[in-house]
Amino acid sequence: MIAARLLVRRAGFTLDVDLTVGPGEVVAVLGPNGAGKTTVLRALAGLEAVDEGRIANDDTVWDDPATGAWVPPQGRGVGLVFSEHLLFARMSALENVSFGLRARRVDRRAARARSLEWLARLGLTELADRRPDELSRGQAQRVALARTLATRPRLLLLDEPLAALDATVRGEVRRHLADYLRGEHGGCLLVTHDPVDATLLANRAVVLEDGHVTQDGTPGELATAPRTAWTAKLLGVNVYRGTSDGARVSLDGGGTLTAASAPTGAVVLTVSPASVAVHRDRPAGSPRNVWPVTVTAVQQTGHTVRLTLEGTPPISADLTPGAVAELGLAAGAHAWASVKANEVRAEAR
Amino acid sequence: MRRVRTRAAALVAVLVVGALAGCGASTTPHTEVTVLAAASLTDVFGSLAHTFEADHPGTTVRLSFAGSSSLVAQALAGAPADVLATADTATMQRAVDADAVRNPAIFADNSVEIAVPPGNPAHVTGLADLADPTRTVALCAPQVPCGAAARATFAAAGLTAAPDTLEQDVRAVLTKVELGEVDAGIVYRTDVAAAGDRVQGIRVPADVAATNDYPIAVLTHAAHPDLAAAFLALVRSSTGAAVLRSAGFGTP
Amino acid sequence: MPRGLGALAVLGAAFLVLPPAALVWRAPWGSTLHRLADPATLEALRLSLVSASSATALSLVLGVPLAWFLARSAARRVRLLRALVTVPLVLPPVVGGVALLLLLGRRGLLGQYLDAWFGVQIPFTTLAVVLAEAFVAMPFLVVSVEGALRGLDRRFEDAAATLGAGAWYTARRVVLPAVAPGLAAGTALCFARALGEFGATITFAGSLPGTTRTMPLAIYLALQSDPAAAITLSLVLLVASVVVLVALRERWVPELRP
Repeated sequence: MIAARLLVRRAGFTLDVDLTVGPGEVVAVLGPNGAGKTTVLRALAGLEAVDEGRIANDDTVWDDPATGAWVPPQGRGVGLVFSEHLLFARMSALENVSFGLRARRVDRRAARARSLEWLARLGLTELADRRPDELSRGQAQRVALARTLATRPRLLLLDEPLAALDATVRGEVRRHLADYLRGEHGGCLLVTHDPVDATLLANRAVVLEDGHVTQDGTPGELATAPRTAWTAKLLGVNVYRGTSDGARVSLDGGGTLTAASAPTGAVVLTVSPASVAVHRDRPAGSPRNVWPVTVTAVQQTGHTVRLTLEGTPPISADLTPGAVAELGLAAGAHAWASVKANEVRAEAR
Repeated sequence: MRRVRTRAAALVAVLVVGALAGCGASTTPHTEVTVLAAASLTDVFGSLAHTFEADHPGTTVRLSFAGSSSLVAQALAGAPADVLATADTATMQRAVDADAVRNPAIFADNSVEIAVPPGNPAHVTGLADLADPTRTVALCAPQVPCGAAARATFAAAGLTAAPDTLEQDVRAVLTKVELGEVDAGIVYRTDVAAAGDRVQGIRVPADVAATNDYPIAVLTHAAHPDLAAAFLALVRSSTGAAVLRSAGFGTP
Repeated sequence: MPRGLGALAVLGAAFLVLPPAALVWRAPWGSTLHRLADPATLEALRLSLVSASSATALSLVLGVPLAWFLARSAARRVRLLRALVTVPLVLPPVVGGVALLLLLGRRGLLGQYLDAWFGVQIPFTTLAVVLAEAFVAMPFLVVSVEGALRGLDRRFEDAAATLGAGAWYTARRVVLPAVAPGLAAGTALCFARALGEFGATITFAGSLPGTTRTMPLAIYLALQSDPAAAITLSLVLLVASVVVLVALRERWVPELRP
């Protein structure tokens, strides 16, 4: 069990985070650029020291400025995988994977055998003798993963490991990663921008904004009840702040929405894009929330089309491609958005 | 090999002629007498030129200093000059053989001397100390005139020199003596005189010290043979001899 | 590449290639062979190769750590040091030789103690040649290796550390191989500069056949009395340096092979 309280001060930025990673646990760290995610990884890996706080693995203290305790990176048994593979250019794939074992004075033959096992596990046996520049990005990233996993890290740190890969190979590398993480391991911290990675790989997600944890929960909890606009946006949810009189909520950014039930006072409203209906003409029926909008962006993601709608308030809507075609919605089109009152979730803030 | 050397000399001559011609274009109506002289004569001839100009109002002495071989090459290439003074008779003979000068006269001599740092820290007393391998000694390389003179001197004394370095020129030997990096070096008497108190000289017995005779002559193609002869006479006069002796030269 | 630059590039190449070509063209080839067998020539050549190699080795031992320090220290703190260690690049070599005498000569700041306490005198020894050459040539190595180290992504070292490698293991297996091209280029420059060193050597070490008279000194001396011999010796030096540099390139930096 890794328990860390990290306080790192930089010019104009303070990272102040409490974090635990239990054995077998996979914690996703989400957050905008500059939120301090990489600093968290570097502090845990021992590549940077904390200014205050304490990092401990069970009873072993890795870093504690108060007592002067310090274990350097090579003594922590932490594995770190970056978004770029960072394979050593003058070594073959096999030599790269053996590197960590050789550095720990595992003898040449044993290191070679164990490295070949890991290459096989990641489907890389054929590529053992290739140099990094002879590998595709996806292959190189799998070698980088094998290189780290071969050292059997007691804490695996993944710094956007899939970010530099294109969509076609991302799934494959993610599958290998998921296979490993389903097995027995000491714990893993995964920094990512991709809610899919968080959802598919992590048991728990931590949102880091401007150096502080703004939310901590399961990926599902974050998606359905995001606490900040960033989390909502990342996970595709519309978030509004406003003031409620019990039913009608005046939004801080302009416009009003009616919720089926809402506390009075300052509230956060969330509207799932899937619950937004879009019409070419003003709908006659029952919805309580109807307002005119202009389509500003149309983007297909998987089987749904995300429409970005400008209006008061602005809103994102997910439609099927068929519906978009039928309505003839393209950027610049004028339309009406409607949301049922019971689809507007309100929370006091 | 000879061709290479001649071409190089011709190139030097062309540059020098060009330079002289360029200067000539801007001269006043004054008469000019041009003297080609060995570099070791720089101070002496500079002083004598002032004397000469004072004695011959309206006349300017142009002095061109270089190594003796270069001077002869310039004279042979037709550089516009009136007087030639070299640091040894062998190079002057080349000018004689080529009919560039007639009847050179010896006006000074220079011989080698031991130079030691001020205070003579290694207690050098004579040539024999320079044959002692435990002492640090600088000589000129035998390929250059001061080195040839040093070699001849040791041969005449029946000694084998034990140098730690064979320098490219006498200036380099003198520098190492001045810095105290060597216990002794062989240079010319005039060099010791010019160095003042930065070095100390120790005489080499006259019967073994290699001596260079300095010949001077009027060039056959001199534009002002009379003035040239007058300058030559000044150099050989008692006035000239006094200046030469104060610079460390011997006079006939 | 803009067309006008092409013409300038041709001019630039001609400017650098033609003088050595003239040397080759004008060489007295007839006498070259027997001059090559001249013991004095071979002695100067041997001394040149030995001293330039030693100076290069010394530069590697001291220069690579210095370059490392310069590359990895906070910029402001070492700016002055970086400027100081590159002074030999701009100092006229003869002045460098005088400076070495003033430090290590037997009356030098340090040299007087070396002499008084240990009876060690450096000037006029082969060691002095090596020191003079290293003084002039090492900055080339330092500048080149420092540039390579600065260009290296620090995260490779981070990756190595998290894989369990200590600093020495990382230096040996990750950093040095990664900067090998810069290191080789710096070594080649350093060796070439040491091989051609004249001014600092003659001033600090003097010129004695077999002990301190390297090829450039022999060439300069020959120029005074026998220009043809000087050209021959220059050719020998030219060929020797080309052979060594090509061999170096083949051996250590196969990537640079044309």
